[in-house]
Amino acid sequence: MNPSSAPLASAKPSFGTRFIEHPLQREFVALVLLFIAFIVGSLLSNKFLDLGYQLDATSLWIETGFIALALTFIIVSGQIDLSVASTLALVAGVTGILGTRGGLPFGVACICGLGLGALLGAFNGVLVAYTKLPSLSVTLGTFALYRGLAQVLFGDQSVTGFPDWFTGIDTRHLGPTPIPLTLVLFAIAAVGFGFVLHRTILGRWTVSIGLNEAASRYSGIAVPRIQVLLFTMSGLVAGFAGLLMSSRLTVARYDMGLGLELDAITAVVLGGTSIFGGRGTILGTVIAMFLIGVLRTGMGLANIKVENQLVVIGGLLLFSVLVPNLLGRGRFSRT
Amino acid sequence: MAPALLTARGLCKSFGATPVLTGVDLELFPGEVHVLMGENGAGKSTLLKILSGIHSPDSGEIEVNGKPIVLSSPLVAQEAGIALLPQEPSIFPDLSVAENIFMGRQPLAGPTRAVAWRTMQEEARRLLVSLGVSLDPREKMGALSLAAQGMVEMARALSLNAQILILDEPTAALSPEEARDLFRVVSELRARGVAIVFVSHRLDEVFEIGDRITVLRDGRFISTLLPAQTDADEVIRLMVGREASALYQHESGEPGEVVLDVRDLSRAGFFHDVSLQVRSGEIVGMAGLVGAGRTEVCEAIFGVTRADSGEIHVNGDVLEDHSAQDAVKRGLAYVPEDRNRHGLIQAAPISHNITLPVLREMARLGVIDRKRERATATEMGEKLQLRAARDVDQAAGELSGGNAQKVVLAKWLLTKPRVLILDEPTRGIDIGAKVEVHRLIGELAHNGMGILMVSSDLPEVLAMSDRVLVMREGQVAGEFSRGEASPENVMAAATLHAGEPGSVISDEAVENSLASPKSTTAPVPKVGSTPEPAPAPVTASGQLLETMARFRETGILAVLLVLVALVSLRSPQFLSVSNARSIMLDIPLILVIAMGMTTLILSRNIDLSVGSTYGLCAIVVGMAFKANPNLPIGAALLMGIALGAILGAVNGALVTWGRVPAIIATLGTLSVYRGLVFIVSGGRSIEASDLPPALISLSQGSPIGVPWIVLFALVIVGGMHFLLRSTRYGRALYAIGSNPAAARVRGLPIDRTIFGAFTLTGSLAGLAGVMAAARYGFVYPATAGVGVELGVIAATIIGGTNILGGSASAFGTVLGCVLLGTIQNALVVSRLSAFWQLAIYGAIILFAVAFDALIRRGLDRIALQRKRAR
Repeated sequence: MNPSSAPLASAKPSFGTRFIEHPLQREFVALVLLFIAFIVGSLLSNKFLDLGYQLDATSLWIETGFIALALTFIIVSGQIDLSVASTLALVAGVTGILGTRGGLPFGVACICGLGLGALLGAFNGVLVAYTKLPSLSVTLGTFALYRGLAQVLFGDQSVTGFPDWFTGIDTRHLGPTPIPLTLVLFAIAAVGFGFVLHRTILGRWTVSIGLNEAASRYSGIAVPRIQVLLFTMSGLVAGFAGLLMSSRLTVARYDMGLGLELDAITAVVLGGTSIFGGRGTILGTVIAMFLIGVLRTGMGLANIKVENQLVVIGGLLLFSVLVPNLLGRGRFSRT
Repeated sequence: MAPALLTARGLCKSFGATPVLTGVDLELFPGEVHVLMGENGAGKSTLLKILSGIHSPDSGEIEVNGKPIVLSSPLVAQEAGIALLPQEPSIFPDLSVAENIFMGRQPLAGPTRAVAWRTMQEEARRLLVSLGVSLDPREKMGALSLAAQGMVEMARALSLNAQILILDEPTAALSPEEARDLFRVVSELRARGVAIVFVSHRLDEVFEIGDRITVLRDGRFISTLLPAQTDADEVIRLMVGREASALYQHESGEPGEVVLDVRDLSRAGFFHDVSLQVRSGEIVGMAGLVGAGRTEVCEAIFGVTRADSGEIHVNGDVLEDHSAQDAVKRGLAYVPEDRNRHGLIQAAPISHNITLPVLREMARLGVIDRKRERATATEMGEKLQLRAARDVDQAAGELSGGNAQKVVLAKWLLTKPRVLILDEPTRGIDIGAKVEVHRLIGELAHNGMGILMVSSDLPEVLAMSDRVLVMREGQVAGEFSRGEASPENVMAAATLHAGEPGSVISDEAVENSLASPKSTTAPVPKVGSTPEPAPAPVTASGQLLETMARFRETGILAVLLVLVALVSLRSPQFLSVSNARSIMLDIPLILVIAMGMTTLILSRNIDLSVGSTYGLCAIVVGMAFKANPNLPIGAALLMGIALGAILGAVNGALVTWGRVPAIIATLGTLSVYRGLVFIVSGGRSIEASDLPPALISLSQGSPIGVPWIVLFALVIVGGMHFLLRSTRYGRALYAIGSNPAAARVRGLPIDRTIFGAFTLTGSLAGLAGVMAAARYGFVYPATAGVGVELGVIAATIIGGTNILGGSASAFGTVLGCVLLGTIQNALVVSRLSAFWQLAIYGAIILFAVAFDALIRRGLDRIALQRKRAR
């Protein structure tokens, strides 16, 4: 009569099981870690509790935050994009050159730069979707290629001379409030991305492809087209992040954002997105991004050098993948 | 009678609450072919898996040679002399026939304990010849036909001294000629006293080869029969266990206009010239053996694969070069054969599965109306009497077979299709659900849907179909109206080769089927008049592909020579002795690490942390020298290697024990190790004055004139060549990369092997770090080894190591390193910016990966066409 209900209805799960199996468990863990980081940070430094300081400090990682939002889609769909930081540098440099030496109005140059970012992303997407190459290999190649092109184009020169309206976006605030403009933009973007991932057709398709690409194809979903779209979006957002960064730094260089993909991937995975695809939330990515930002700020205040911070961030990435694996989660994620 | 080889008594097995075997007995005697028969879901495959140690029974006992035994793993079963040949052979396609037979047990020879290739090939040849098979043991396994692969698997079982050989539907995908060859081998084994369990659905061959026939039904032992004392009708009756009337009977209505019209559809290697029509309100059954091409035809109609030629009309519209989403728009729906992989997204809720194809209708402006979605899914579930433990939020993967199939049906019914293609709609679902699914299909047809139903369940086809199409070997081999279709003539059309000995199907039935007015005129080949099937013609492009694959390394060499010629024309000093020496000194650093990377990429792994490992080892050794200038060079080298090995072992542990994907694990350690470089050194550099002259001299000379670091690299290349080519360990790396699942089934120590490769790569990166200190005379924390991983990966991939695993050579990697080293030097010499290097590496990685993928895919296609060509 009802054979499938028998084994399920019997035992009531313990609290531990319920916690481990709760859909937002990973996000919750990230949130707890964020609180711990805050408490430890404020014990180490008084500045840590200065709201204005904390708000302004977000501008240091906000570019990575934007990239992590788009990367959440890529990873949820079962792929990866290692080329985001290289795209950022190439777009920032090309925009700078077009808008200064190239003689284009700077606004037009920015639009060209965003177009270039989308194009670079689409190139990844087309290779992944239509040649069926693993996105790892493809974006490892373009990781080198895009930054290499930036290097060829600008050498070790800095591109400078940006118009005033473009530079210093990190110093602008929302009206009289202490809230940085970039943080407002990030909040809007996070809500937008979250809405698309969790409420719209595109989001559902992304999750479906990540859970089972073949079944999605057999259900009439245009898998290759969606893959190209997601990679294009990733490139576009990386380009946008490049513009933000060159506005903040007032220069563009080929080595901008070196290693930034590591922070972005760490944020996505730490925020609970499964590296095998099919599961993930924007909320988790945002919490994890704040966690990484707070850690970075805290370590900066504690005079820990940027290079030495690598140990913490890399360790965090390993920890965030290792622990759920050892807990044996994701029963259906891969068969 | 000789005592039984194997006795099984009272075997029971349940999966969850569903019993699949209830008290099954089986006895196997030496020198018998014991045929196992039963419908899908009768418990045959569970029984086979218990006998071969893959599943453990819940109760019951097994004796082998009179002694009780617990078959706890495939290895235990193998040691007990039991070998299973699964339906899909688990092979290493990139490796030779001989290695497929002896993987993990290769004969070793000499003081070096190297794999004795000659002996192994001789041994393999002898085994194959003794089975009456003439195959070159050096041939690549992936290039063989399925039949030949099966023979090799049998030779392997024989070499393991298997006393009991289990063949799971060995002939399902074979042509009659190939099946006859297989029978010869089976007879040979029987003559040697091997007991053979033979699963088959083909009645004719069951009677040809079987000594005894055991029938299972619904997980129970039904009967063991002697072929001489029974006939096909009795076997079928025992298998089905009910009269056809117990099934749902579809009542034919008046068929309407043609809704699906397929004309001369062909796909090379799978099916050719398939034409069929489905009318509105009609159920067209499609019968045939597994491998006859039925699923492939359906997939091409639906658009998940492309046909090479032919036309498809739906409701009068032509579908050309279409995708599945085009097909859905035109009113086609396809319930696929493999429900778990293609039909459902198991981890997603029932509701998401049901609404997936019609998501647009559930949404306004792209935003999903979740209330409407849930209501629609619930309504659909109620309509189909879906029984879920909870509601439509339950994961679809938790449902039983019948309910899962209802979810698939629900999702397609929501698209309101004109034509519904069902591929094995009741496979693996219980009798009760089966009747419900049948009734539903009948109702749909009654309401005007056109239905094409592929099924291997003969009673189902006969009870449901208005018309029956029979496919054989990629062609439509017969068509019967409802009145004409009988088990005999459908089976005859599916299997028949006229005059074939051993066919138990009565001549009358054959004549009926041939004479029936509606049967198509597909030619029935006559034995003796059919010429030997010619091998598939290899196209010119195919030949080109094969040549390119074979001369890949020559190609790199040619590129290298052209590069040298061009650059030296432009800048003559490129060929000078001092410049050649400079190239020679730069290459070893990359080369040493690339040797390790080759073992990793070969086995489907990667290590992004090599540059950081190199940097960390260089700085630690440099600091050791700074602290103690009299440190012996040998100790410094050992220190670098040991530290590298530890760092590599951490990577290996993360990947094997922690199950972290290699790319993520080593991306993490890339930054951890890099951070350690700064922490350990405190950001201070090691200058030339800190390093002893003895270290620097490693890059300047040696007793034989060649710098030491070049000698190191040469020794490591030699060692790696030996490791990859002549050790069981190295060959296991190839096997794991070629087919990890098969490697697991064969009991190769996968984790240990992979862990070893990471440790090896780490130690080589550590050595490279010390060599770098010798070469450059300084170590800067900010630059030591930064970005080295890209050069190493590029060199390895361009050297021919397949990024998808399974093929690599030490020599190819050397060529890749030499090419990259030369490019790097050429940039300097020709005064082009060194900034080009990174971009060139990126382009090379992309080019090499894409090139290899395209070649490999092309070659696979050719191999498939050859395999299938008849």
